[in-house]
Amino acid sequence: MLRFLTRRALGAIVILFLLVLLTYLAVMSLPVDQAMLNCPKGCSPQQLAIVRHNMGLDKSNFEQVLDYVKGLFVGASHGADGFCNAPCLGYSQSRHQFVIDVIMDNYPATIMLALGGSVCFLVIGVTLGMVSAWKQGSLFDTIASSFSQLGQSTQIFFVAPLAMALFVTNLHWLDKPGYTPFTEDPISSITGMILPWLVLSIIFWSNYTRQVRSLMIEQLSEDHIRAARAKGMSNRYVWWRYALRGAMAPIVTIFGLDLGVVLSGAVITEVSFGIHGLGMLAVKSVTAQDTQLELGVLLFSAAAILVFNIVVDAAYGLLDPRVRIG
Amino acid sequence: MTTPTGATTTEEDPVLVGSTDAAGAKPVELLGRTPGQIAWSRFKRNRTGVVCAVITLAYILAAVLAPVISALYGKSPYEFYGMKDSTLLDDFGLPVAPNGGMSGDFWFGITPQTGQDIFTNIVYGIRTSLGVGLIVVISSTLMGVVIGLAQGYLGGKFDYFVGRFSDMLLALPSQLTAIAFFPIVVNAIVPIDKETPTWVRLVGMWVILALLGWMGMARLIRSITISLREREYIEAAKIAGASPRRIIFKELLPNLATTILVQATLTLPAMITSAAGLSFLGVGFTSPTPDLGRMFSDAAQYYESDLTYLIFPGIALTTFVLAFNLLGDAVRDALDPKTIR
Repeated sequence: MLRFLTRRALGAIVILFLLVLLTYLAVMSLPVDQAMLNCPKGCSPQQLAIVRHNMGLDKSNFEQVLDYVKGLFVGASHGADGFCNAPCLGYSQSRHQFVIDVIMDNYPATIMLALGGSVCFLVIGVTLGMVSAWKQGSLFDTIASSFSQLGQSTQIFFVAPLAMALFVTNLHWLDKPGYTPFTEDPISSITGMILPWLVLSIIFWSNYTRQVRSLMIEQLSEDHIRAARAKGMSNRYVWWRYALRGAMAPIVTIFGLDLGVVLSGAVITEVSFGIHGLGMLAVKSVTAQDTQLELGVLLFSAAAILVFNIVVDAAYGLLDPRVRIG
Repeated sequence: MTTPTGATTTEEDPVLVGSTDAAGAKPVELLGRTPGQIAWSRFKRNRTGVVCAVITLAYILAAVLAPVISALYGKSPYEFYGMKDSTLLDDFGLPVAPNGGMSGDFWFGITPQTGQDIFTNIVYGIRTSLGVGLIVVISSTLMGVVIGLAQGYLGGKFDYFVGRFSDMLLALPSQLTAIAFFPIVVNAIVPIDKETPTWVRLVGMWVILALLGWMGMARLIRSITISLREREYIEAAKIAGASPRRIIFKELLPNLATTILVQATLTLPAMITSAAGLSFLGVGFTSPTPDLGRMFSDAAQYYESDLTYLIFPGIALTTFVLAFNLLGDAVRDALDPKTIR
């Protein structure tokens, strides 16, 4: 296990390093003069040169990338702005803060959205799938599968405003969605996220319903299930203890991958509901032409995805003894 | 795909034909059916598939004939009717007529503030979406097939490094990357301080979505190619002295055609929604280009006062994606009956 984890972690670091190179050089090709953006209005060429030097923009592209990578490991000094600690992702011109601090301010909203949303789609999806498998061919099965198809084909940017119009504007059941830190006010934190959670889960749950349904049906025709039934075990016991367990391993895989996706920023959901998370931050950094912030957000969320891919592979080995990792 | 062994003259049940054969009523000429014919007859029996094919076709026709439709209907998607006729919008810039300004003149209502016609905007928006979707799917499929074939056929170091490269691209959060890289691609064509023409935005979306979209196809093709490479008929072709070119184009590709077609059909709706999502986030098409994604970001601002503006584009896009998804499933079932849903 340890060997597997170290090997995968090293692989992930190599990928991240290549990503830094690729994205940094790509972003550098933008002719946005960061020094100009950071210089007060009517700034003289001398001042501009100083700002440029402080930001390290007078060095060659290659040296800048090296500095950036160095900053990731040992931190970097940013002139008057103080010292940026170890995982230094640069300095955000539009926020006048270190990129890592901006990300950390915005990330809790994304975590809250991702965790609640993923619980929703896992519970709804798996439940619908199990009932569909149990009542195979029934009206419920048909309705559940059509509903899943519909959910998979619709778009968050369509459903989100519709849901707000219905539940917030017309029925007044909920307040306008938004993120409040859980530690500050647990109740409004949850009520503010209910709609985003449910809407986010719509595009994900259909996959679980279909997978769980077909996996359960497949499991129930396996020999060991028939043997268990022949031994006289109750239907319910066989169902929960054997069939469900066999169907779980693939579901955990998909779940882990989806969790990585939502944790790396559900851009459209965040923008639709006005939640200030990682995705919203990415959009804002692009409009503000804040390249350092753009780059930082991108790398941060790529790292989130990579970590989750490793976790998923490790979990797969634990859940399914037939899979040997290493 | 198995070779057809049943001999039928029509697409009726082969057993029936066989029984008339056995009865010897009249000698029936033995006719084989091509795999394509078999798939077609299987497809025709799938009612959902046929309905979805009709809907998809209607959308494609609407996209192709958009100028004709808008001429017959007498409105243009670019015209600001609210500016011309001050009775259409009230002081807040909202449509005066009930239900978002729906009337005999404006079937689906008009947009707030500008008073553009929503119906023609949707028709032209479908044209934009379908256009972007098609060029992205065609180019990403081409890339995926070429790279996957090369990986599978050549193997070795090439396979390894290209594989790691596609792993790296897969680790990128696709939406975030698309947002971040869109300005970079656009800027490579037009300086950032100049106004960006629509075709540059189109190219930007095309390049980004295609570059981030080929990996799935490449992986699939690679894995099938690896298993096909070891089959006897490929070996036989090699022994017979066939060139790699012949092996790839005459032996491998025909066996991959089904997979490629099915995968491409299933990718199209995904690409259309990605493109719409980009426009929704404000990095794709901008006003005045008619585009469904852009309509959503406009309409979302009025969800409290004018739902009509949101609902029609929403239904249009959802129906289209749903029909295409189901069509993709039907095509897969018809071409590859082994897959169980």
